[in-house]
Amino acid sequence: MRSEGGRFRLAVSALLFCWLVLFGVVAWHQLVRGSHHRHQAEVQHGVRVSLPAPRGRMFDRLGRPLATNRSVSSIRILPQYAKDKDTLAAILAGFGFAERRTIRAELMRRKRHFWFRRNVPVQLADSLRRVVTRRGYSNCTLVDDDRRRIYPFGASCATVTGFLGEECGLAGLEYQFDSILRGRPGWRLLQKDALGYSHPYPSYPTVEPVPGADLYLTLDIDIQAICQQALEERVRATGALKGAAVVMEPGSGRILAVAEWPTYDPAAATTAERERHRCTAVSDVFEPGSVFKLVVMATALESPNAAELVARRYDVSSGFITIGKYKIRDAHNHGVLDFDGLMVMSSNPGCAMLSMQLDPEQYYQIARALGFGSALGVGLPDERSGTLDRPERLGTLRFANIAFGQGLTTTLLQLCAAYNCVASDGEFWRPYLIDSVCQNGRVIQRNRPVRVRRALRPETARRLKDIMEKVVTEGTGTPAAVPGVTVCGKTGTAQKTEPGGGYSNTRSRMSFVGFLPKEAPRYCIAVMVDEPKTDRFASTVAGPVFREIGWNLLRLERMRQQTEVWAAVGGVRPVGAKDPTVLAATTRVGR
Amino acid sequence: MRCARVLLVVFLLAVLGVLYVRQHSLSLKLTQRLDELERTIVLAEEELDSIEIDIARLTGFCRLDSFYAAAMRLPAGASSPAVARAEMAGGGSMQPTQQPGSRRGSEIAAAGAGN
Repeated sequence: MRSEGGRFRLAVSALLFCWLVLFGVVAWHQLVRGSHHRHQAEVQHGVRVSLPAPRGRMFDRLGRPLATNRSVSSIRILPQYAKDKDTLAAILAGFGFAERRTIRAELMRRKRHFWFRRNVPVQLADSLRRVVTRRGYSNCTLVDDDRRRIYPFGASCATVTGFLGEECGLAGLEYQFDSILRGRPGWRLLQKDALGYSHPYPSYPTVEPVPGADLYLTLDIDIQAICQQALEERVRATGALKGAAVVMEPGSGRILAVAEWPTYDPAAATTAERERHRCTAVSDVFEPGSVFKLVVMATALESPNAAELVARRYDVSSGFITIGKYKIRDAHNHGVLDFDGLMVMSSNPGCAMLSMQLDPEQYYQIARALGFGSALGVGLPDERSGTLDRPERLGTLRFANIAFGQGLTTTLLQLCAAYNCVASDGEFWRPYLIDSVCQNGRVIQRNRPVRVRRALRPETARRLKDIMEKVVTEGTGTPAAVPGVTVCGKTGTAQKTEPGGGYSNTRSRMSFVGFLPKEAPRYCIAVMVDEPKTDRFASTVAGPVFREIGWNLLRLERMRQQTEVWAAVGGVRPVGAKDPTVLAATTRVGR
Repeated sequence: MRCARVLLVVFLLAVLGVLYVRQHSLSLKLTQRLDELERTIVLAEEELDSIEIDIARLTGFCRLDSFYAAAMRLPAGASSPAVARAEMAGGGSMQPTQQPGSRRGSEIAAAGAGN
């Protein structure tokens, strides 16, 4: 028999032991199994939702958005949970989505979850959310926040910006820079109550999304629109397949416009032909035709016997020259031409004769230095490099053909860059389209103008400018003349090849490449019109496009200068001063 | 006395519990409100953005150009080339027939299209 004190001690010890065991179990669950229980609780009481990252935007050089995002809503329906499909159809019809009968038929037909409507305005979706919650249909009508990509200037720069598919960019810069535009999505844990509704709770973990980086382009949407308008008008007037234009800034290589017509609306890109998604100026290669005579003339001026070549007379009075069994012809008989006349009158036999006096290796080096034969890397997808054969692969006939732009291929951008080099006194500037990349307002990369090399001596460039000025004042390029300024440029009519071999007599590409004003070039413009039906010569097809673009660029410049003057005097228009737009419309350029 | 003390402890614990539930509910409401405010800010920013886009569109060169071309009673399709030709020919007034803004754009366009 134990004493009373002994039993008491035993009871206390047993209780103490129990408490210790309990304490030990609690400590084990708290300290060792704590994270497991926390996770279990989160799964039971919380719901993890994804926070999509806002996609990076694109802006032109004046900060106008070319691609941006809008908040929209999407409506999902789970018809199997609807207590009365007819009432649900009536609710949805009340919001104007469709007729009640149509919606009801859709609800009856569908058996499982489906997207009812996407891209619904947020305000409308919020109202719907309130109504379905009040009437007890929130379990089968889910209204989600969504985002939509919009392109405020639509087709104006569709081939540059490209467009977005369901998840990633499918063309243009949207495709090329998808990885930096898309950002990184975040997530958030919401607290779930007994009724199944989820609520955000401050102490629950949240990982904020990282927004995509914004791209600031060198494009100017006004210049882009000017080019597109001019191209549209000309393509329609001549019945051409398409037209493209590039505007570049001499002395920096900034690309101010890459336009084409016809184009597509990026908001409905999937309905457009796939061919339209490509940027013609960088993705289409073609035989340049006479605009390539620039290279032969430059080679002649850079060659050791330049003085002799420049002083020579070139007799093309027969209208053709014969090389082997082939004849190289002119469209018109030009008689005897001097050196300048070869380019001014765009004589094919004359340039072929000149090419025979040149060193093919030197020609090749100059062509490469002017940017032909390699991609320029402006950042657009599917940029082509064109073809430029090594000199050892060129026979006399091939070299004679190359002298007037046959037997090699280039892109319109390469042509523009080459003429831009002449406009920049022989310095080749790297063309670029992306000015800077910014994230959360911080510049993470800025592209500066890069002077790649000196391709031509300054005196060669000056001489070429003089010759190209004559092309516009007295030669084949007169329709490209812009009143009040000195324009330098060159026409190019390139016959297209036939599928069975040889050149077509009816199908050709017309181009005009030039810059203005000659004294201090501010714009280098390249224009190409593909297969016009009504005209046979570049001067009358591409020349007027160049003229209109050049004319409007100067008017735009004047308009902006005037606006700046008013801004400088306090943003108030001086009494008696005309509206800048009126000034732009009434000012004659150069007067 | 002891009973009163126990009741006081129970009462205090109940108050503590109610306060916790209230705080929890308030915290939920405030977080929801904060989310709504953030959403409103985003929507307002987007609205502002779209107004700026509209302004950029309306003041774009080609739009103004066609606006004045219409005001000058040229055919609707003829914009800058027609203006250029008229200017180069030295004929016709380059001033709009009315002060800008005195008529709606659509009226001007309609008037231009009729000529």
